Amino acid sequence: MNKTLKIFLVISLVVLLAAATGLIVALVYASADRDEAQTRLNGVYEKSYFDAVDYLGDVGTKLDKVSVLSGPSLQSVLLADVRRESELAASDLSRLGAETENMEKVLKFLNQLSDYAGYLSGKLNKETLTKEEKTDLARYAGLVKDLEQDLRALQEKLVRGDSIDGSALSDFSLIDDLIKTYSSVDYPEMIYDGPFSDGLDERTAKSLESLSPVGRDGAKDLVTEYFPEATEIEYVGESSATIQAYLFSFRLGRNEGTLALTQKGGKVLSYNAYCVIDDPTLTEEECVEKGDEYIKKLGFSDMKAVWVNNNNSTVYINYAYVYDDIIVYPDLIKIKICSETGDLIGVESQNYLYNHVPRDLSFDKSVVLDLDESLTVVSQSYCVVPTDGEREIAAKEVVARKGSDLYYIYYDLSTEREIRCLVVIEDEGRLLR
Amino acid sequence: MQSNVSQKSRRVPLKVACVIVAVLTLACAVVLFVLPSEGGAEAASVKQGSTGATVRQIQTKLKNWGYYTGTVDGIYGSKTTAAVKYFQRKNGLTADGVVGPKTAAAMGITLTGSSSASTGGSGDLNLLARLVYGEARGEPYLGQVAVAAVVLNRVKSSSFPNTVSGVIYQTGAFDVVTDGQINLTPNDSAKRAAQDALNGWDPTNGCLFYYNPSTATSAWIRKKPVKLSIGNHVFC
Repeated sequence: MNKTLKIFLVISLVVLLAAATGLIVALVYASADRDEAQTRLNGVYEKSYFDAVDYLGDVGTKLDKVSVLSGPSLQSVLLADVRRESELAASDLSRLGAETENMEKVLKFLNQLSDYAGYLSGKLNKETLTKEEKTDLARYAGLVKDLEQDLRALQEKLVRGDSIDGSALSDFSLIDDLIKTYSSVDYPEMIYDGPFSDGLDERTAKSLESLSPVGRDGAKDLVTEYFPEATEIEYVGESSATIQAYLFSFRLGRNEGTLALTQKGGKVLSYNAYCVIDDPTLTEEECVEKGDEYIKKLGFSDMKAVWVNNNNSTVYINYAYVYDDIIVYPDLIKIKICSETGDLIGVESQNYLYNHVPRDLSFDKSVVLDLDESLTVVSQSYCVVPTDGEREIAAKEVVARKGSDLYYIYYDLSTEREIRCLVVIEDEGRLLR
Repeated sequence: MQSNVSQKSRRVPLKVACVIVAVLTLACAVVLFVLPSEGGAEAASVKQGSTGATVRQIQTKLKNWGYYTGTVDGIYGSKTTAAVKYFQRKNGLTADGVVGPKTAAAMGITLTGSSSASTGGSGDLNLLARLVYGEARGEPYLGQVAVAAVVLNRVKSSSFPNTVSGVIYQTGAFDVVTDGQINLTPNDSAKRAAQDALNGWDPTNGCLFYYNPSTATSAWIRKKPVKLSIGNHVFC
């Protein structure tokens, strides 16, 4: 073996040893990092678990207390706590490793309980709890306490080293097994005025109820009626969701969009097109002028632009139905305009189709408002606002400024109380929050 | 014989070299695979077509310094682009009309967001756009809006968490969270789809689930009645 070969072999051996050492060190570090990450993850899961147990314990106790009290003030405070803690318990449980399908019913019960408690807490401003409501609350307390007890029983297994999510130390998920059991519980139906009320499941499109069905060919004719400049019109399918619709794709200007036309009445349910906007030239006012024309062409009359928001040069405009200067906010249609070409690139009329019916809008306008003295009123008008459920409230809208902030405050005309307060947030677009 | 030895001695280093190269390649591959990457967040930039508070800030600065004569309206149009190019030329920067990190630093402003400032400062919008990009890039635009709408329908449903982040990060809810695709930088289409959904567009009319029938393995989800089909996804 010559000298050069020996040197080469020695160098190769050194390089090989260095590489092997590096590899081993890297693997050891990587393994340690992974163990640490898994431990941290388990810590996050376990925190959610312990928080959920605590919140459920509190909710059960507080519901019991409400059911034995007779005065509204403490009941209202306790129900506000139940609202918050039920929602937090649901949020914590959703972070744990149970299958979505099993978790659904448990989360639904806790979120509805939270919503219902909020509704009852608000109701206590004017009324007292009925006997039936107190009985219901006691029943819900029983369900919450059962869940809390079973969750608490998992603690022993956790101490033994089992994992909440089942991914590290054991091959089954403690939570999943438990939640699977609770997803088979027959939870009571809750119908009240709130966003999670079971009553909303029965929602129908009121404005379409009396209209006749339209066939697919008739619907295609309507596409050209609503969008005379559309080309390459193609039927692409149907939607059997709550509002049944035919779907058509077509080209309009430089954009390709999809239109949903209701099978009852052939009304525009939605339209959407993707539009790249490189050079926005139109102002918001110019876009609203175009929007006013488009909305009439689509067959919606007596609509007024009530909100304009520019997001990345797409101008979103909310139109509400107006009757006798009264703004009917539940009957809302949204459209979007490309601020480069002025093209209509979107329509969304779900709310209008669900809510628009002839209404009695002759309400008492002799309301006396108690406005905060720091506010400078910009405008006032009468309106109808939707509740979180399916009710509508006759209201007075006051737009007022405090410093640079713009507020929209709504007063219930029957009680003269403030029912909603929104503030305009100017960020990368304009938001009402 | 000599000749054989000589041939063998020439072969040994070749074999050793091959082994070394193989080991080193393997080592590098393993190290690269195992060790966490530093992650390369795409630098934020604001360009023509962007709108919002950052654009307003840029226009105000340019106007104060005499580069811009238009209205401070938060809309990055051709006048703003021209003013930015003017500013960039005067300050020895590449005059491309885009406010990236260097131009922003020269202006004394900070660009927010991990992708583009034009996506907006809203955390919900960015997160939703990332989910749409991870779950539905390659789908028709309507299908991307529909995926975003499903997330928002879940937020409104009592059966799911009540926030956008709660729904997206619910354990096991979306594959892109598990496989890390949620961290990819969304494109313009995904951002606009998320924006449409947040502004109220819901092509699904209330659906809470979607899946790809050619890849979905869950028997449970396949039992749900399909309401409509867009691209490769069905919605229920």
